[in-house]
Amino acid sequence: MTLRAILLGTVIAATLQTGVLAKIIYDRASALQAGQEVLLETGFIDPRDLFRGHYTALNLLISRIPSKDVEIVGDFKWNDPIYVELDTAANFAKPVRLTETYPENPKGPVLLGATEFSSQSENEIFQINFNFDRFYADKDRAITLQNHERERKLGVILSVAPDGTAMIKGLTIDGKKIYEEPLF
Amino acid sequence: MAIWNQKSILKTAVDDWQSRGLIDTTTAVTLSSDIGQTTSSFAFRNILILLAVICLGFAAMTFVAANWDEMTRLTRVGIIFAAMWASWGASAVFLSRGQSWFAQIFTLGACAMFGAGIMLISQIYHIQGNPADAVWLWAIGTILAAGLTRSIPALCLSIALFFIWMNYEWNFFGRDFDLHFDFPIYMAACAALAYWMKTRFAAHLIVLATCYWALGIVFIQLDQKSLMHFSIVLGTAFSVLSLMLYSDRVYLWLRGFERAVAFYIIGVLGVLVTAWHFISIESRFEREMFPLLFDFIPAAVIATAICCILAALAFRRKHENTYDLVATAIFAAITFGLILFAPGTNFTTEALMLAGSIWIIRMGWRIEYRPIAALGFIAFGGAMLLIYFETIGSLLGTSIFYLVAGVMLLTGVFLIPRLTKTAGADK
Repeated sequence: MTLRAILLGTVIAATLQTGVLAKIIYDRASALQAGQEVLLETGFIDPRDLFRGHYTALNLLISRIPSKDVEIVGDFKWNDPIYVELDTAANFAKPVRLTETYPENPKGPVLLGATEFSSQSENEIFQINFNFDRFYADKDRAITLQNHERERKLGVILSVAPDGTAMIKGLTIDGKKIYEEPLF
Repeated sequence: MAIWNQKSILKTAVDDWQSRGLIDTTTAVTLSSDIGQTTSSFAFRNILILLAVICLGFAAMTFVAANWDEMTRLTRVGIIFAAMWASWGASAVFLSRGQSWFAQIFTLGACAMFGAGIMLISQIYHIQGNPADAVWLWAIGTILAAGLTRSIPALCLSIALFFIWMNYEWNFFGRDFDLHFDFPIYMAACAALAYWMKTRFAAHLIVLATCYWALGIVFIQLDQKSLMHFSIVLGTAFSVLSLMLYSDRVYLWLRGFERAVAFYIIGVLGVLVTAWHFISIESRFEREMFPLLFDFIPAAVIATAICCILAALAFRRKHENTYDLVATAIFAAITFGLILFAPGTNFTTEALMLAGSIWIIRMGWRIEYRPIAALGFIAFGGAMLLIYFETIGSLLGTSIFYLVAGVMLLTGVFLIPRLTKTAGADK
């Protein structure tokens, strides 16, 4: 491999890596701007990530859905995609239907998650992982958010894309917006 | 040749040859000065710079993890971008000056900054997804950079990242697993780069990571009462061991790395045979397991056939490793035979372990690779301890243990020096 080829490789590698990072920022900003807004009820728990430090895990109520409360369409296995159709009539959005594929003519916004545990029997709980279950913050702020847990009136505002993916747009306590995510 | 770490061995050898009159004083002085020239303190400086760049990488990662809010988001992102480009710039500068090793190290630094960038951006913008996906993206970006710039440190980082990614996805305490059958594909890509860059350190990492993955899927599947992967990994291990012995000394398909691969494969075989021992003596599991033994038949047939074919070829071509290739085929046949026809029979696997450990010691001596001989001694000690713990429950058992131990030790005392002499004569 000649010196010139390696130098060219260096420039290509640097550009590729920069492009990847820039694309992540751009995609997130576009999705945040264009998505449909949904408010979910949540609590906070303060754990730590190996690479990204402290965060508050969002203890989302829709992460654990009693099977008797929703219509279930399909057979879900571990890590399968699961679409959660929401009813936004109340203050906090509530799940109404779980489907394997994106539902036809949904009445409300639809969230995409991954099946953690599922059962078709009555009184069972559907456990679902969502990709917006973490809010990164420094240690003090993470603990402060966690301490609001007892009040159980915490909300997370999401921006939901047409394919069901969502990202955090803001946080609320007792209906008041305490944090709004800047675009950049 | 990495001669710097063998300086004292060479100097001692030259002094010895001179004292015994094998070489004259002039030759001894010439050789000693050549050894001195080949070795330099520069190599150690390289290591220090590598360690410094690793420290800087960790500094960047902990900067990200600290969630420092005193700066604006864009400033923090800007710092990471600047650090990444500074590292790439340093790499290009060193490369243009012909200092390839420094260039490679700074490529590593740039890749560390790339990873820090992924983590920082996903943290400050709350982009989560699957955490393992972020590590995978980092690994892909790093292996591409390693290939494009021919950087060995970056290749090693990408191997480590693929390893972390694979472990991220494994939940040994959960019900469901992704066995990551794509992991060997990534390791194969890394192996191709390691072969191209002629790096043994990366090759060691690749083989270690692949052995860990192979044993991981065996134990995950065992937990789910399946022996399919056990049989495949056992058969593959015997086949690869035969291939390595066949390539060793004559064909050198892996440029002399065959012995190191054989060492790791013997380790895998040791773990598998020990695991089988514990599985087969547990009668509770054995009853459930009998129908599952059919899983072993394809692997037993294919692996034994490969080992026999290579042994026959070696015999025909008067290969220097014929003895060990024949022994490998015999051990493969015996191991699969015991699994299929004598599961749960007392002292069969223990006898296999003892015989196997002596064969490994012998192999290490024959092919002049001490780590394999050392592994054989460790296996011998482990097998003896295993027998001790299993027979300690009854006086008769303990007595049999002492009898066997005594016979084995006496055999060892008289046989091992003879084997050593024979190995010396074989050279």
